[in-house]
Order: sequence, then C-alpha cells, then structure tokens
Amino acid sequence: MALGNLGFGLCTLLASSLVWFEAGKLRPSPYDPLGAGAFPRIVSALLALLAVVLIARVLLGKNIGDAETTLIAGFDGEEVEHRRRPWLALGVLGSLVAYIAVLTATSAGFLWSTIVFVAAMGFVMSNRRPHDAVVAIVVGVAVGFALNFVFTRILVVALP
Amino acid sequence: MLDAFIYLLTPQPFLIMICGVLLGIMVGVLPGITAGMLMALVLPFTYYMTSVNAVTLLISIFVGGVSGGLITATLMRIPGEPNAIMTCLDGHALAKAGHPGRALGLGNAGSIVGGVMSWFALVLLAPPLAKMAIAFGPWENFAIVVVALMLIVSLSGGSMLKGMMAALLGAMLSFPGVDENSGTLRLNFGFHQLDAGLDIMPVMIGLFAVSQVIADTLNIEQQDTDRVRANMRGILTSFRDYGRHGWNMLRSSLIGIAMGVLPGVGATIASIVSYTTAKNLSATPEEFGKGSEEAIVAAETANNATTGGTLIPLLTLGIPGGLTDAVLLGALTIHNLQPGPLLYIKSPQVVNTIIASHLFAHIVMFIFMTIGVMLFARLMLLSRAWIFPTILVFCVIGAYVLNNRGFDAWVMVAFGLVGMGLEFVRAPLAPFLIGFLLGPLAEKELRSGLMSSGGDYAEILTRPIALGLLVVALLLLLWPVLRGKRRGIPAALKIDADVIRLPPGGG
Repeated sequence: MALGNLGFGLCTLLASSLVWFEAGKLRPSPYDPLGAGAFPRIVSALLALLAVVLIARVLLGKNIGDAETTLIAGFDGEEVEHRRRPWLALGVLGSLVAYIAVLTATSAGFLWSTIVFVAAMGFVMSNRRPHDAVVAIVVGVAVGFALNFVFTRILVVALP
Repeated sequence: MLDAFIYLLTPQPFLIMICGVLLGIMVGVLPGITAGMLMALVLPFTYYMTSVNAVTLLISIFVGGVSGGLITATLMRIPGEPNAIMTCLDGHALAKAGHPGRALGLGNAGSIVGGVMSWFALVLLAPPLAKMAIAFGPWENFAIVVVALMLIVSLSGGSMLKGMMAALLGAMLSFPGVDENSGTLRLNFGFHQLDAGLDIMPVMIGLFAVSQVIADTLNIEQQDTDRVRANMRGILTSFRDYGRHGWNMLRSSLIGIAMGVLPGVGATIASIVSYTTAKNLSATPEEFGKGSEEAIVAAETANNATTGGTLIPLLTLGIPGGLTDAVLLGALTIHNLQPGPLLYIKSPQVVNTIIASHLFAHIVMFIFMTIGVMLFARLMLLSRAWIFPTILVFCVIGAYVLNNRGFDAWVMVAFGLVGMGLEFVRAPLAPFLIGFLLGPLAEKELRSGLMSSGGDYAEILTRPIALGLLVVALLLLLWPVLRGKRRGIPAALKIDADVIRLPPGGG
C-alpha cells in the first residue's frame, strides 16, 4: 500500500502543480479582487502541501491510514474465497475504450457496435460454454435493437 | 403540499413513481448494481422530463433501492445494497431457520416506519431551516460549504489526510471551463473540449457506474452458496409486531434521520450504528447474529430513515450529503433549479413534489415488497454476465446524450479510472464527489463576499454565524488531534470488523 500511497501523492502533486502554473496565467479584473485564477491556485497550493505531507510520511515509514467507508464495493484488498479476475476486468475496461472509440471515431454506428460489444462481453463474462455463445448473440441482438429503437424512435435522442 | 400529492396521483407521475420504485427494488436486489448507479444512469434522460417528474423518478428509485437490498441480504446473505450489510447477519439467520417470510416482513415493516418517520422529519425540519438559511449572505454560505466538506472528510474515517486530498482534488477538477463569475476561460490546457468544463453526468457515471462494473467483473466468480428459498409465510406483520418493536423502530428512525442529515455518513453507517445500539440496549444481545428480530428491525428502519434526513441539507442549504443527493442535485441543475433555501420560494412545487414523492414512494415500495417479493427474489438468479455489458452501454449513452459530445464518453472512462484509483489507495470517494460539486459554489460565495467587502477577508470574522461555522470546521479539522488519535471516524460509529465481514459483491 505504501507504493500506492506514494503514487497517489506524486500524482496529486503533479496535477496540483499543473493547475497552479496554468491558473497563474490568469489576471483578475478591477471589479473582482480574486479573479478567475486565484481560487484554483489556493486549492492547488493546499493540495500540493498535503501531497508533500503524504509523500514525506510514506518515505518516513509513518502510518497514513485508509478510508473506512467505500462507495465502490469489491476493490478492497481483503482475502476472498472466490478467484478474482483482474485480467477479465482489464479486458472489459479495454473493450469499453474500444467500443467508445468505434462509436466516436468510425462510421460503424450504434446498432452494430452495440450488438458486437454486448455479445462479446457477455460471452467473455459467462462460463463460456457453447450454449453461452448462442445466448450472448441473442442478448446482444436484443439489447442492440431494443436500445436503438427506444432511443431513436421513442426518446428521439441522437446516439453516438 | 396537497397539490403535490394530488399531482402524484395523476396517471403520468404515478406511472413514473411505480416504474422508479420497481427499478429501485430490482437494482437493490441485484448484487453489484446500486440505486446510486441507476440514478446516475437515468439522470441524462430526465432532461426530457419536466423537473417534477424527474425528481419523482429519482426519489422513487432512491427509496426502492434502499429497500430492495433487504431481499438479497435475507435470502442470499449478500447485501444487494451496501446499506443492507447488517441485515445479512440476522435476516439470513432467521430465513435459514425456516422463516424467510417473517424476516422479510419484519425488514419491510422497519423500512416503511423508518421512511415515514424520516418524512415527518423532512416536513418539520426543512422549512424552518430553509427560512433561516435564506438570511445567509455569501460569507455564511461559504462557511457552510467549508463545514460540509470538513464534516464529510472527518466522517469518512481512517485518514483525514487522504480525505482532505480527495476533497481538494474533486474541487480542483471542477474548475476547468468558463469561470461563471467573470466569463474568463480557464484551465483548459489548450484542449478546446475543456472549454465547457467537465459535465457532472459523465463524471458521476464514470465514478460510480463504470468503476463499480469493473469492480464487480473482478469479483464475478463470487458464488452464492448460502441461498434460502423465499416464501410468503409471515410476510405480513401484525399490529402487535409494530407495538413490540415500536421503541426500537422509533430509536432506529431517529438514528437514521440524524445520520442522513450528516454529509457523507449515509445509510450503511446508519444501519451499523442502529444495529450496535439495539444490541447494546437489548435484553437478549446474545440473539444478535443468530436471527434476532430486533436486529433486522433496527438495521432496516435506520437505513430507510436516512432517505428523509439526507434530503434536509440538500433542500435547505443546497449541500448534497452523498451520491444519491449529488444525483438529485444534478437533476435539479439540468432543469435550471438551484437547490438551497431559494428553491422554497422560486419553485415550491418542486420542493413539495420531492417531499410528497418521498412519502408516496415508501408506500408504493411497501406494497411491492409485500406482494412481489417472490418475483423480486427470482431476479437474484439473473447472470451478471448479461447485465454488465448492457449497463456499460447505458453508461456510454448516458454520458454522451446530454451534450452529444464523444468527449464526455472519454471523461466518463477517465473518471471511472479516477474512482478505481482512489478506491485502490483507499482514499474516500465521498469527499471527492462533494468537493467536485461544492468547489464552484465555495468559489462563487467567497468571491461574492470579497466583492462586497472590497477585497477584505477580515469581514468574515465580523459575521457571527460565518465565524461560528468556521470554528466548527476548525474543530472538525483538529478532531483527531483533540481525541489524541489519528482515526477520523467517531468511536460510536465503529463496530467490530468481524461482525461486518461478509462476502463482497454487495453493490
């Protein structure tokens, strides 16, 4: 966890430094004592200060503590009885990125991209038996056509 | 208020409310899918509704979701919603002892009592608080935001340092785009896509839906090995039951309401505190964990009682206490409504609809949870392999549809990664979200205050309420030092880790 905390500290230090310098380019107007850049600079300076404290504590081997509440269940490092599937999770994330790329950068269209995405993801997440492939295709086609119909014909929404 | 009740009984809003409650219960039943996630997903589509229908839908999902977790917790010992975590212990034990209907009935009875009690609290406490808040100037509003952030940081527990960093990081990410005070374009780093800033919806969908689906995929092999078949025997509780558990219900409701009002605490901690309190005051504490009826009632009453409590700071001060409030805030914002005391004056029909739909949704939930429990229980058998890809498609549509920008879909993915990253290093997400939402408000109020004082910061020290609030914020900051410990969460909110160690996957 120390490495994770160090990474967190360094990332926030980098982000706050970027904001500090970028916000410094903004000049206040005569009627606005603070201006558009001052508050982001205050926040980024405070964040940078805390990041330095965090990094120093990690390097000195002191306890940082962890959040005791969570809004996303399942990422905790506790031991579990079932097998975790990090590669599957990464694959799903990569497929989501590919799906968005196809939708936003090609002319493949929502319907076919969605059918392929839902069917492929469903099959990968299932037990991958032959009949799961059939179910995956049926679910993919049903979801693709249903969502396409609902959003383009009923809600009249422009889809990606 | 009567108009709002009558309006909700007309066909369209009534249908919306029924759909919302049904959807809420369904996602509550499905482990890994939360009501907050569903609310974030439907948020973009509420743009096409009237503001009152939009809030009706969201409140109904909220109420249904908080209640639906009871079914999975009782029958599978997996919390369908995180707030059902304590129900897993005794609800499941009672169900396994041959009384699943009784366990579900008691939980349902607790849910309706908690919900109705919190509705009374909302009706009685919110208007005077709003009346008081209307007299506040920018310095007081700025101080309220600071207190809210400090409260959420200190109650997130574990590490104040990480909590504060998360809150500031959230605030910092809310700054890119056009500064609404001066019209100046700022912090776009040369990317014109950032000119309009980061929209709240892709941010929330990424943080809570995308990251949750990825977390659930990580744990997709988790099996339910402890399933109990549902039956209806004992699902209807008698007046004697209400009498026997009356004091427990009242106490748990008050705990739930109080926990709901505090930003960042929420239903999960409320049910843990209520369970612990009930155990400490019980004549038969040894029964807890073995199918105690008192325990089920305490946990389920408290988690539903937070629903009204959490709406109080949102409606009166414009301060969201957690994810569901943040989504409601987003819904009001996309309808050009600003939550806070002025909402009572400018849009009383919206406020009244929120309050009325909170009560109606509980009644509808109680009916559905009583008659439809067998049907809802079947949902637990649905394979997540077919649900998760569909949710991801909804995420993409939801992020894209409001602004018709492909960029928003990428923002969603980016914030999904941010959510996972923060969760991985065990930095609390609630302060991050509230920082993102309240950062711009804090800046606006501070700059208004400075403009009125001619740039003099010292004026805040001359305003008694603002000064008092800042002192409270300072005390919250120093709380771990004053207690001589570095733990942020109050001892009263703690419970032995082995008591709540349950199979993960409850979304």
